Amino acid sequence: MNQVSLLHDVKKPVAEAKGLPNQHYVDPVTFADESLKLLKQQWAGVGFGKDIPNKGDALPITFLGTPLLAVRNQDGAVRVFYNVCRHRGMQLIAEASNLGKVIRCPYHSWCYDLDGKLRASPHVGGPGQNIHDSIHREELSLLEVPSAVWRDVIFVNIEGNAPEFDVYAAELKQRWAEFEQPIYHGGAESSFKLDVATNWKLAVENYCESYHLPWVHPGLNSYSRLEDHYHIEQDDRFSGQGTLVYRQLEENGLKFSDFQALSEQWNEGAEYVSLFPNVLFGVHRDHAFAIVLEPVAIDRTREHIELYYATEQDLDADYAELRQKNAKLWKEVFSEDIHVVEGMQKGRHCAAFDGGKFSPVMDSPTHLFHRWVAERYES
Amino acid sequence: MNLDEDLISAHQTYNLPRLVVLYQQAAEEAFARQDIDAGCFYLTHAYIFSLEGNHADSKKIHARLVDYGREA
Repeated sequence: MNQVSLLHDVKKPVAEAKGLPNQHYVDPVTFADESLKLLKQQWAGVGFGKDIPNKGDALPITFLGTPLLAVRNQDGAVRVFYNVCRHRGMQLIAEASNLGKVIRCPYHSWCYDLDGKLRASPHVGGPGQNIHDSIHREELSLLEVPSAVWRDVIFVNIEGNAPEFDVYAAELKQRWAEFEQPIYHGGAESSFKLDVATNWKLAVENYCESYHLPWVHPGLNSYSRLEDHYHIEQDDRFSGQGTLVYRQLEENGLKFSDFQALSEQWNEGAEYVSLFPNVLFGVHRDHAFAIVLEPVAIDRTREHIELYYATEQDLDADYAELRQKNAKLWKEVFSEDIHVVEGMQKGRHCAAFDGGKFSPVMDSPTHLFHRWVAERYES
Repeated sequence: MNLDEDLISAHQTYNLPRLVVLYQQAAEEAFARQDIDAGCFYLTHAYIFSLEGNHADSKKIHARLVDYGREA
């Protein structure tokens, strides 16, 4: 069966559909195609604003081999450039640092301001002569990558062809409008990474559905049963799951602060959504998290996990133990998923596997993602 | 230490304020001997390090380079 008909099967209604063919997990050529169509042409998460908190902070990021530089400019806004000098293509910044007000290329010292404008081109017209008729500085700004920051995640559209981020994320922003308020990163203990031997899509697929919870997360299931969950499905944008029985952590009578003015549904409700392609979010009345899935290779993914709280007070020393407990809980949950996403990756080397059969009832959020992949892959 | 040695030392320690001062000093010595090209060469280095270090002399150095027709 050829690729077109295989993807046609993926796009059928969930009861009739098959999952993505193996090649989408094990074939390097398909991985390269997907890197372009599913990641570079979309709004992909690449980092976090909390890593560049101050004006002049710069963070080099390599995403799918592309060298990027996230900078917080003098206005406090995040901008993302290619981390490459317009002169000789030299990498500009090798390590996270505060640059003050200029980005100086370490090769011939061409200098750019934090908005990417070329400010100096020393000796470009000969020794001591810094201007030349053929050097038009206004044409030699750093090349900027369209970027947006939402819920502290830095998104980029490397190919520059996606709709505005606010349009792309409009439905999720609307769904979570009550959570459009400041979030405060919990600090070092609220930040961890997991290196997983799997294709990045399998991490998305697993995150989308609640079907696996009683088997993979029995600890969670003791109070959050399968029937306490519901699907979240938005064609072309995101999918995930919600719970009706979120229980706040408590330690010696201490609880985290709530986000302000939430409606009653969030008293015991929480939602977990994959914003396609590669960012996973979770929101609760008293904390939130964001996970950026970094596709390191076709079969290797680094999960960057960051936890956030509702008020600055929650960052106080009094809450340190509670924050550690919360981070430990989530690290355990996400670690419990590792063996299944790695196991599915191994299973994709079985030539006889035909993409799999979905549960029409339980797997529809995952199928929605597969369909998103198939439609973009064919574009 | 002479100026060359001071400059090498400042480069080795990546002392930006010191580099700005020393390169301006080197420029003044060149201008004193009517070597405008050499003066602007050193002044350019002072300018670059002043930009990088957000040094208070940055505007003044830039203005001098502009006066010499060496900077925009």
